[in-house]
Amino acid sequence: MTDLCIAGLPIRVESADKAYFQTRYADYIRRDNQPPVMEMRTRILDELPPPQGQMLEQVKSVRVLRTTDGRLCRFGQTAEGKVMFAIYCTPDYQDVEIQFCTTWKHPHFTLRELEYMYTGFSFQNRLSVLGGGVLHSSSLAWRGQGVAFSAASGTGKSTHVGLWKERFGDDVQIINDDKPAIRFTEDGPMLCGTPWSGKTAHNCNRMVPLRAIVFIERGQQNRIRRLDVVEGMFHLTSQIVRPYYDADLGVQVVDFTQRVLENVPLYLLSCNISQEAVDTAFNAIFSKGDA
Amino acid sequence: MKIKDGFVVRQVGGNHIVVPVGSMTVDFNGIITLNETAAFLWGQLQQEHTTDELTELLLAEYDVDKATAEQDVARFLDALKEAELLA
Repeated sequence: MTDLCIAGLPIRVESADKAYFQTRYADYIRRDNQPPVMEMRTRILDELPPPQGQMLEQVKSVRVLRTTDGRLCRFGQTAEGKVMFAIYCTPDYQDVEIQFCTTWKHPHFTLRELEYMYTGFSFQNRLSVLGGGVLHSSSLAWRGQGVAFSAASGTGKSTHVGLWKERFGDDVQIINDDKPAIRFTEDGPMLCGTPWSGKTAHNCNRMVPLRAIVFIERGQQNRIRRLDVVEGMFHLTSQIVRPYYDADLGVQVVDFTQRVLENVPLYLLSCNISQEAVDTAFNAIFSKGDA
Repeated sequence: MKIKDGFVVRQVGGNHIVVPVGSMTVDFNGIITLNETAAFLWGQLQQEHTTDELTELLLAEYDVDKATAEQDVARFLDALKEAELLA
């Protein structure tokens, strides 16, 4: 068991791939005695016990059932009925057990990558129950002020954040390159680093006030504008995942999304790969008094 | 008829916005915006209603003539059918 502090929350994890996660979690280790708000375990087994309980639905190849002890379980199996993975969660996602079969051959990911992804999903679910959420974005802090750049994969979020780093040097710190957490505290919306940062290890254990969310689209010229409410909801719901296996949790994610919409300035940046793009975004987000 | 399960409606800044949740997120991408009348009808269609009942409900709620109400209901139902949102 490893005790972590992620987005200010005490978490306890038990990893299957201990060597890999020792590195991934290094910046998030805690040594206090706070009781965890979440515990998650990953087990890799030769045979997974078939989940037992009331079948709720099947979404594509994934089956969802309620176990006899009240947990939600989603699982996948081969055509012969051999269970390849099963994720067991208490209804509040406080306790999560991730089970993978040693023989699971995912078409795209290794078991290590799957453990990384599923622990991230599990944290995201617990965070949603606690009123926070995760925004698909590359995010940074400029002099302690958080900005998240969000877009569909492949648009150039990380590239744009790299341009900020190039421009401002030590004044910019990358908070999380792919999936930062957002939490609402008495200080307002906070942008938080987490160990789950997509393909890169660019993340840090830091919480900063969230000053703005900027949705990026590619363009020939650089221009930026504020989004109205409907546009904002459209963009946010595109980049804040609602779990397909739990509609009640999905409602909580929508609550969070609405709170972000109502409390964080949202922009649409049409940009190319240039320092002028950084200027365009910076000048819209920050006033002269900030510089 | 009624609307399929798996949507939540939120009122934000005077706008009614419908967002899919649960397994509906797999089949339905994006969000729906509703005007005042559509939001009222959407709410009614959380339960089973016939076209005539919807028209009556609309007449009871808003100060419109019957022909306008029938036209509004028909247009709304057409949009729902087109988007395959009726159960």
